[in-house]
Amino acid sequence: MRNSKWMRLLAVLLSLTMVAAACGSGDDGGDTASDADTETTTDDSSAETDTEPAEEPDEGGEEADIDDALGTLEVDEEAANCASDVELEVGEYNPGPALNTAISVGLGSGINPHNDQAPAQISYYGWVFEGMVRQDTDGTVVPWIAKCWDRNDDGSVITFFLHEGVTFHDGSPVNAEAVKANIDFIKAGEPPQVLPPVKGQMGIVSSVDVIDELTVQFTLNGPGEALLLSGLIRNSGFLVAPSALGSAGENPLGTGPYKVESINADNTQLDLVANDAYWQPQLVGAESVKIVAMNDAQARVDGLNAGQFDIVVINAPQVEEVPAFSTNTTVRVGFVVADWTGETIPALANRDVRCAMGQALNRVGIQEAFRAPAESANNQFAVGPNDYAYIDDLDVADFDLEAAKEAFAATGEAGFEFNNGHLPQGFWPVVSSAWGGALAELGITMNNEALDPPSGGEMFARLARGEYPVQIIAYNEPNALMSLIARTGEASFNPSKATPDGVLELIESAKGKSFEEGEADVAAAWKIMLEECIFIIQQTLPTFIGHGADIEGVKHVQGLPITYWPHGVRKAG
Amino acid sequence: MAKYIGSRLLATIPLVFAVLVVTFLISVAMEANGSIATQICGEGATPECVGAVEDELGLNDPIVARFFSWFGAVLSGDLGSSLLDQNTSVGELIGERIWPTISIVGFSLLIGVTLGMLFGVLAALRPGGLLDRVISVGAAGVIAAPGFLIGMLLSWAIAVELGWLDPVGYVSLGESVTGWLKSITLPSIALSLPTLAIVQRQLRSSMANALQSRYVLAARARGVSRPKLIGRHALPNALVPTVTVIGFRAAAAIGLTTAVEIVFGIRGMGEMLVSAIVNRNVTVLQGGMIIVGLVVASVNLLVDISYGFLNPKVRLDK
Repeated sequence: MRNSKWMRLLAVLLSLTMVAAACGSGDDGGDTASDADTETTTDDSSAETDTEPAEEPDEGGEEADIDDALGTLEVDEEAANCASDVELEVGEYNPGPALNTAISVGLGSGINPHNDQAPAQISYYGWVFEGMVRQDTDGTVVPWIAKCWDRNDDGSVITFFLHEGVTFHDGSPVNAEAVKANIDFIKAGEPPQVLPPVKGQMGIVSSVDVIDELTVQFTLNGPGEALLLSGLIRNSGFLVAPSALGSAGENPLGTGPYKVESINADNTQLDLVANDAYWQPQLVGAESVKIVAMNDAQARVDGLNAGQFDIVVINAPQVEEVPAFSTNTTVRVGFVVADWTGETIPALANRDVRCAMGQALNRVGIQEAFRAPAESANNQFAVGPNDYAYIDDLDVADFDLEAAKEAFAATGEAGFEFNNGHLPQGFWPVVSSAWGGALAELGITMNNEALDPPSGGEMFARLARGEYPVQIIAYNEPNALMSLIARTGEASFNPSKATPDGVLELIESAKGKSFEEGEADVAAAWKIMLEECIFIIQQTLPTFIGHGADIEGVKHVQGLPITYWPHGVRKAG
Repeated sequence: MAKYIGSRLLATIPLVFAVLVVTFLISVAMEANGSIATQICGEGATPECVGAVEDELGLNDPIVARFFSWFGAVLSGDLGSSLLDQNTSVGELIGERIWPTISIVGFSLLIGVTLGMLFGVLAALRPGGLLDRVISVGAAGVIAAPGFLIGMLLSWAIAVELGWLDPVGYVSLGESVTGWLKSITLPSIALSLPTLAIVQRQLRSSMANALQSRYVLAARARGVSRPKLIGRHALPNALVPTVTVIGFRAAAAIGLTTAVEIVFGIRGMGEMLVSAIVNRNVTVLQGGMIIVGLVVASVNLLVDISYGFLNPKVRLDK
């Protein structure tokens, strides 16, 4: 708060200076309004990527009867017992006062989870929709509508056991049939009802079979428990009432603690009411919720401090201006040396060249420029030592421009030139420009251009087309394995389709294992990619939520898609 | 007078047509990379979807045929659908967004013109006097400071620190009259200050000249009272150039409202147009530009008509 006042005092002094200047010149002048916004966090910064080629629905699987399924798919009785071991604690329905919240972007096209995948917009969805599983505050995947799940030996068949008594907002039950209807709809869906990246999240699913009322079994194309769960915590996992499949934008019927009351014409204000039939009534924290899109970060903070809002998305420097805040890490930002085999720029095939380029990236300096925590500068996918697939002994050189220049000179390669496409707003142009300036010192010319149209989809589409030899992107897949798969192996960003030795084997090994068991494989594969300087990671991007001192229960979630879970968030009194 | 108004009205038609042509050409330039069809099909759009949308919208037709097709639709009031949400018509969107903007711009003009004229006359009564100097320095300062900066300072001081008004958001008139007034007061003041200052300076200058003119001196010599001298003889003549300035300021305020709307978290036309540009939402941009163009043309028309009332020579010349 103190810093903010000083900044404003500075603004007043600036105004007075301008007044003096104007008086001195005697010139009537004109308005020099500028509305440049210098937000440092990028809640609207990126998008998901397609991770697996979409498969056609398995018609045979759909028609398989339950007896056959039980006979061939072998539900583990011991695992099935987990369902009876999990007791749901049901408390009292006691919603508190209304909540007013503000985030930075509006919904693109109504609140249809299958037709939206922008991470910031997904913040809207958690209030209304839920899945069988969800991400916990530490980023791990935990059961939600499913009590638990079981896997077969190679991880190619996953069985979910659902809680009893969960209903959609239209009163229909959440059962195995409803889950199957959702996944079948996504797999067969087309734009505008289902976006291809959302469909791609379920690309690994071969068929979904109803075992009984509350047991549903996913047969995958191959081993891939971790991939399935990663998809299910995102848009493709949000369950929509079967009656609303195909019209969720106009008829948003989920299972969440709040029901949609209205959404305005341009999708910038969502009004919700408490769901009095919610299956965990104690988690309905407010009688109503209003979510508005407000682009200007300072306006959101002013609204919070004046009591107009209870919870708002804020930027890193604004944590001192708000009564309380929570934070967690979200996406990883960095550069992909897509043409690492030198198809278009032969010098990029030289590892020493790539690593010299990486050494010229001033990670900490960039974070300081944004007044973001210096510790968010990062050179690997994992956030810290406790995070999934953290690499203890990663050998990636820290920033040292002089050493980078010497290393590049030692390669004997001549300077070269390449283009990099970035989103036009927020930190993207700044990070690109900062690295470009450093590379120029090495004799490498990096031409930065703003993407048009300026969307995360365009960013990944160009990466997939191999349009840029080196490109800045956000790694926002919820786990390190997903990100690795998305950009190696058969992924088409690499013109040569090549992958460093050992990486594919490690990925295949991890796919057949659970998250925990596959962690070492994933870390080993990442280590190869990072030490080969094919991925040059720059930062782990934290998001910040500011809220009133009287707001309880804001639990910030590590990683995407949900910034914070609305369950249990309430205003005291 | 009717003939004069008719001639002005006819002269406005080419201006409106030019606005439509420019709007159409800008949208053609924006869609050069196929963004309209791609936007409608959404991320991951297939070539089949893009092709089908292009055929449906006639995007591959000759440009002249497209213009007249679009022109016909616009004349019938059909501005199309938002590219980001095909379920939302642009007309519906503008209908929601235009009222906050009209409220802010209208209220800011009321404040700016009223106080600008008052201070202009006061300053002109004794050029070089203390009051004139104070007002002139204040006006220069207001002109130099960007509207959004003034808005931020007002928001912080009056809304956040003192808690007298809401710092962000818009309450519709239908929802609450007092809420509406509270929500538009700060943004309107922020937007009005440049208008106030410019109107004051213009009127001060023309009023000072008028007060020195022979007909005013003659009137004074005839013993006309000072209030009558100012109100009936000097002011009407001094107002002619001031009205022109007011017209410019009205048009400029529509543009400047963008920054003010963003600072005060108001979803108005300006914020809508910026979002449309950022998101390449061509149909919304077209609709917004047409509405803004029509408003500016209407303001020009009103200014022209007011000349006829203020100065009979103007309408007689016509």
